Amino acid sequence: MAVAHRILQAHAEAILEDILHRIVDLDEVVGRLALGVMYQRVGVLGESLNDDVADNGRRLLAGFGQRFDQAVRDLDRLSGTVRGFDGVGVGCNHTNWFARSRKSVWVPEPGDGETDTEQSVVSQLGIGDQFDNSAGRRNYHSSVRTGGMDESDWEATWQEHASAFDRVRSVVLAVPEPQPAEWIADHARVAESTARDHLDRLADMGVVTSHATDGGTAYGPDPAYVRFREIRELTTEYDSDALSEFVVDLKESIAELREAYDADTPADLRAAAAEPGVDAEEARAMARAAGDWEHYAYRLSLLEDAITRYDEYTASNVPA
Amino acid sequence: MIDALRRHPVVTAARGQPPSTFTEVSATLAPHRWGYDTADATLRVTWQPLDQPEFAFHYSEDSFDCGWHREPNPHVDGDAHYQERVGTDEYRYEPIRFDGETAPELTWEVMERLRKRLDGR
Repeated sequence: MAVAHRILQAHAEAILEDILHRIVDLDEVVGRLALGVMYQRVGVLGESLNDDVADNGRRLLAGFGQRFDQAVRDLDRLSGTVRGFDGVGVGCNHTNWFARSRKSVWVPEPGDGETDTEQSVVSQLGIGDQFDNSAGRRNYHSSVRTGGMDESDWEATWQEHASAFDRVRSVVLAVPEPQPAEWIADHARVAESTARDHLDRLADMGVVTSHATDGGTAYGPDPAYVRFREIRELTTEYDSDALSEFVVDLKESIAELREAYDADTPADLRAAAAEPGVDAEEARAMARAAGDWEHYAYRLSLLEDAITRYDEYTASNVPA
Repeated sequence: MIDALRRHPVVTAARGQPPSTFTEVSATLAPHRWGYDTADATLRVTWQPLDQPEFAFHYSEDSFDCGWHREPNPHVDGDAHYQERVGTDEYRYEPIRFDGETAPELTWEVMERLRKRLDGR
């Protein structure tokens, strides 16, 4: 698949996720409008890109059921009452709309009577908080979410540069404890149903492991996947002599901790930190040292594995 | 963390350092992509996976460095703070509040804060 094609596909998916995630946060009219407009967009993108995007879009939108039907009805209603509404829908710049601001509508360069149209749309949608006339486009912005634009800027940048799938993957790989799909969706800025789909895919790929908990299914990184990814990075970046030198360094670092805290294992050190009579600051330093120790032991085990199987991991052929 | 950094459009490379203990991630940045000209811009990230993780994202260029940290410190109330200095002057500190919680969220949040800070220089 061509790079441009992939970027466009990821972008289209990111826009969809954005709407699905935000529709409940936005005021209803604009949320439904966004959904309706996006449905048009997906149709257009679906024809010019590939069927997967369109199908994915339709499937996600179908999950909204009644909500989407209502959006279509609202669009019909608005189309009937606001002259030039189609121009807004078709001309909507999704990058401006979704990636740069919480919601904005731009209307193509005004012709006769267009200004009235803009005003009607803006007044019907109640989004005239800000007016920005730049680059030949008229943007109506409105900060809907509490916290204003500043707080949302980094989220917009993230959504612009990482697809929903990538965001879900990076969040689930970063959790120290397995978390439910709802939590992951919230932190990855995607809809919960989308997070579930992607988490299932990641589980199929062996990237993520699901855990049954009292509160339902929770997801976390698959330890074998994480481990092998690290080993592969080591064998790709360094030769086996360099890896052997790292082993020496790591063993020294571990020996220093063992001596400094007079403990045999990180677990012993954690237990010592929890003893009565250890003040809070000292306990924190000990917990930190125990964390370092566990980290070194983990890196050491990766190195030993990488060195032992170096030739297999770097071979150009794999057995059938 | 390292994945999130590698995906960021201003990061040109990111790797664990030192290669043996891998106690921090060191990234090379290209701030000219933000329209900010400087040579040798780097970002160092440390992350302590405690119950409340402690971390530091620290940016450096020639004669200027600044960082967004969450760790115990004697300079501000609370752990989360911003610090910066020009050359070898004393650091200036201010308390802040982080919006993101997980490593990828914080990575993108800090990079955006950095973009804004450099924009104001």
